[in-house]
Amino acid sequence: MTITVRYFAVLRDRRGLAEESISGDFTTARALVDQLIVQHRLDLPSALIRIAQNGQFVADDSPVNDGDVIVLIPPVAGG
Amino acid sequence: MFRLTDVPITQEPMLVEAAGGFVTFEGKVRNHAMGRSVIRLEYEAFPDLAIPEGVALLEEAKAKYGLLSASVIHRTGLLEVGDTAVLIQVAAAHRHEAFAGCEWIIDQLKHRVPIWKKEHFADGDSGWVGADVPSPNEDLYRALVQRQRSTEEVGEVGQTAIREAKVLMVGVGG
Repeated sequence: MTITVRYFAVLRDRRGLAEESISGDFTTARALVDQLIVQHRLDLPSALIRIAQNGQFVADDSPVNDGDVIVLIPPVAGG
Repeated sequence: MFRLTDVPITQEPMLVEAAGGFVTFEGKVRNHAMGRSVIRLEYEAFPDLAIPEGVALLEEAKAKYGLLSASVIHRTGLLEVGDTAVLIQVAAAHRHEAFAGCEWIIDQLKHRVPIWKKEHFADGDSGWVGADVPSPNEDLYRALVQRQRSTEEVGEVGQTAIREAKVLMVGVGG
């Protein structure tokens, strides 16, 4: 399957890009994030990253589907 | 209303005839963070999620505190010291709910809404809060500082000296 992954803030700085299209056999949202952390040495604990899938926050075990847009949300600091 | 903007924030009057208490909070860029001198802040948002989450947060605030109106404007981009990063306005029949509701909104916004802050320091360094640099745990910080301040041997003068001190740490291996 092919999906789009978007990075923000510190993750965008560490990944070196804001968005990419990747292909593979992806299982759950959390497994995907864990894989990206290792693959790209994002150097942030997975537990600190929330995951949005197609515009909604999702749980760790949400299955990833072809065409999904997955957004990695690092620790927020607004206000 | 929850709105993002990349230009300086201007406050619109809130007109609610049934409200007697109107509270406004302005979060501005201060010139220090965790003991370091700050020259600017950079805010980034993910609007697709920030806006729905912000709207949901305001609906919860209204239900929880009986607010008659609540609105947030948050700025993104590069902000200088003294600029307003966030403006919150609430209206309630009475003042207690207005104060409490406004405080709840800023507290919730800080950990729920996908908005990020990068601190740019006077020494040229910069870091994303919560990742490169620690998020201040304000409640804990306040509790610790209060204890030191009220200790006779430290006091207010001592607390100021501690905050402004610099520490050199040298590692020599082994």
